[in-house]
Amino acid sequence: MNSVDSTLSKSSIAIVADSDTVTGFRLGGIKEVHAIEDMEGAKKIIKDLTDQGFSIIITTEKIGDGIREFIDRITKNRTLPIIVEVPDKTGPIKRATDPIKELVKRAIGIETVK
Amino acid sequence: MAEEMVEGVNPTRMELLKLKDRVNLAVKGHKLLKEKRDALIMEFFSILDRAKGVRENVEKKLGKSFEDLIAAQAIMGDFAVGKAAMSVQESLDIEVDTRSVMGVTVPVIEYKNIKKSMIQRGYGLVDTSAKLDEASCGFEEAIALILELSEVEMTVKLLAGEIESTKRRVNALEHIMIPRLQNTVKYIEMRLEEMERENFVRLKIIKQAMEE
Repeated sequence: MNSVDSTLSKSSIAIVADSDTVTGFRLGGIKEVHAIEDMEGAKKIIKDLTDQGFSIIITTEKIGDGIREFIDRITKNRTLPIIVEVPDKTGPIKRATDPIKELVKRAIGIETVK
Repeated sequence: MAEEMVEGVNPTRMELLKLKDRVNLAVKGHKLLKEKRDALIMEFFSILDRAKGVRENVEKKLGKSFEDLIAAQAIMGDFAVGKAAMSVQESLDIEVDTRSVMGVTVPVIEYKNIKKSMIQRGYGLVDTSAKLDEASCGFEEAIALILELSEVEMTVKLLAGEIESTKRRVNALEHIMIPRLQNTVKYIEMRLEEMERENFVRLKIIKQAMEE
């Protein structure tokens, strides 16, 4: 299912993820799901979804890491769409620095204890 | 004058008046921007309080839900689970609104009807496993948490960006623009005084010459 057909969907939330994650979110009640196999496909679909005015796009951390620059370009200086990355079935990726903490450090200038 | 000045100004009274206006404006702007920055930082800290632990909750919930999903796939088979998932009805009702925090538009997400009863889900109950129900239930809860997470993280991100640029403008005004303008004002004042003294001396000399 690689084409985007949004005329049927009524909510403005979409999932772009691997097939297992997609199955899970389908069970949770989201219809606008796109199982993708490679990063290029993910880019294309996220672009399409953005153009169609989806306001929340859920993707996995792995995909997020794979197309980080692309996502940054889309979300730069914009409120919508919100692209949120969640862990897939293998669990959360361990990161050296928490991206949110990094933002706090840049904004405030000091590291706050969280 | 070793200090930096605004380029290309003539030491005249007109320029002096204009420059004084600019200094006033810059000082006023600096004060306002500083207030904006402080307000943004306060807002930022309150949203950080909300952000605390949201991601961990999502991770925990999703982890548990994936376990249930994998168990269901093991019991019923991949294909049957996929089929059941296809027939789940969409009842999600999400509204994404925006609100303005000191001129920054941040998202506000409202949702209802995420939790469903077993019958509302829409797959057959006879040939599905109880694990599938648990997984669905878990994913419904996870989606609610993810919505909250996305709102909070986006807000943090937007506010952080705005704070950064406001801070930069405050610093530019404080450390570069205002001193530069003030130096120029001082320079013109000194030049004008010097010219006045020159004129005074010239008049004295002319007077002396005329008396002789």
